[in-house]
Amino acid sequence: MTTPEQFKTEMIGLLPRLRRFAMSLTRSAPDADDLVQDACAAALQKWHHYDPAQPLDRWMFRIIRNLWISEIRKRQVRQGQGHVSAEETTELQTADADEALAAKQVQGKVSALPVELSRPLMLVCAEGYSYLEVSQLLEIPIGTVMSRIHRARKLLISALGQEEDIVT
Amino acid sequence: MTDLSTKLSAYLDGELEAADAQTIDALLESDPAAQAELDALMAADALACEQFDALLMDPVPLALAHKIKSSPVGSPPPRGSARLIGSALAAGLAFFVFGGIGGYLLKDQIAPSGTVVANSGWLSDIADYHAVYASQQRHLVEVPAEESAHLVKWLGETVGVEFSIPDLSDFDLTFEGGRLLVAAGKPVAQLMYRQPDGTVIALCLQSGASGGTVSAPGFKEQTIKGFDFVWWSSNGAKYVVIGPGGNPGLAEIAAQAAREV
Repeated sequence: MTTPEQFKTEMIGLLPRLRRFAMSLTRSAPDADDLVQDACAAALQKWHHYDPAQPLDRWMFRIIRNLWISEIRKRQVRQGQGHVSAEETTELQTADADEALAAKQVQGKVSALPVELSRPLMLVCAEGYSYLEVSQLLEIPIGTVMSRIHRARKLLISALGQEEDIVT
Repeated sequence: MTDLSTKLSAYLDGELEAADAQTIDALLESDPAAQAELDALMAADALACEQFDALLMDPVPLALAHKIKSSPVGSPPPRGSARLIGSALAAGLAFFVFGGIGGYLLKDQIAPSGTVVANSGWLSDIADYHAVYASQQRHLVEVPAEESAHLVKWLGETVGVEFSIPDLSDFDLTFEGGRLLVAAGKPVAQLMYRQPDGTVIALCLQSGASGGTVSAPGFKEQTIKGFDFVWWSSNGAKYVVIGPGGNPGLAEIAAQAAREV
């Protein structure tokens, strides 16, 4: 049986990873910290619903994502954009992703990726998620997960090539 | 090529069906262009992993960790404006008022700079393994030092990183052998050394970092779960030396290991 103190200690140990995931959603450090704090507060309120047999990080990621969707919906409603789908709420508008990435070139290649591409890549590459798990967490089709991860890698390859061109 | 490239990307993640993976295996042996595409995808992946891991090094605001420690469980905590708490004034107040308490509560997770250390996935896993195996006497290793040639071949192939076993006898460290671990979902080679007083120091390596130079790796130090870590990346692999907390010579041991591994 997990005690509240054990639960909190484990949660604090996860903070760097929770902030990284939150950053993949918000692209803003202050917003990410707000989001993580709200998610931790929400988790502490319902900690007795947490099944210790399940990884705490997965549970926390889901809470963070749901809170972010809720926050974006509120902002968009406030801005008069009306109701939007969950998928739309988590995506940035990236009309010309390749051009945006090329502009940033050498520094921060991963952070220059469009958020809809970097997020699944981070979950697979850094968090060890399967495509199915990413699909379930982000609520996008598994084929979309596969194509977005591929596209993210291709954009990084392109950025690496530009870096080599600059060096030579 | 796009469709093949997409499949190669999924192949890299182990997400293809067995039959498709076998088809790719065969193709890679006969098609240099396919192999080159896979190599490029792997390079991109290594770059991404390194940069995502670097995000874990960002300092976590102490106020955020303290907020969790001080929040009541099971009752609605004050929602307030998180942005306000994140503001300089509130964070400063929280730090001064609760710093002492927070420091005690977080003593195993706070870096000397006063920030919560990054509990990186693979380092955290390695800390757990070290806690279990370092206390072992007869079963410290899976393959003993007497079988070093086999160990290098087996672990090198499994992890996907070529390496040599560093001679750390200058630090009174005797190579005892090695183990295969799994951290953050990837295989890890663990080389175990023991000092005369029984202190166990381990060198662990895992593929996944982007290229760099062996001659001048950037060393980083952390304390996780009571163990000290010195880690670096070079030539497509990540390395870490782990030992008991408060070991003043760990950085020198890591430097020697980096030169010889």
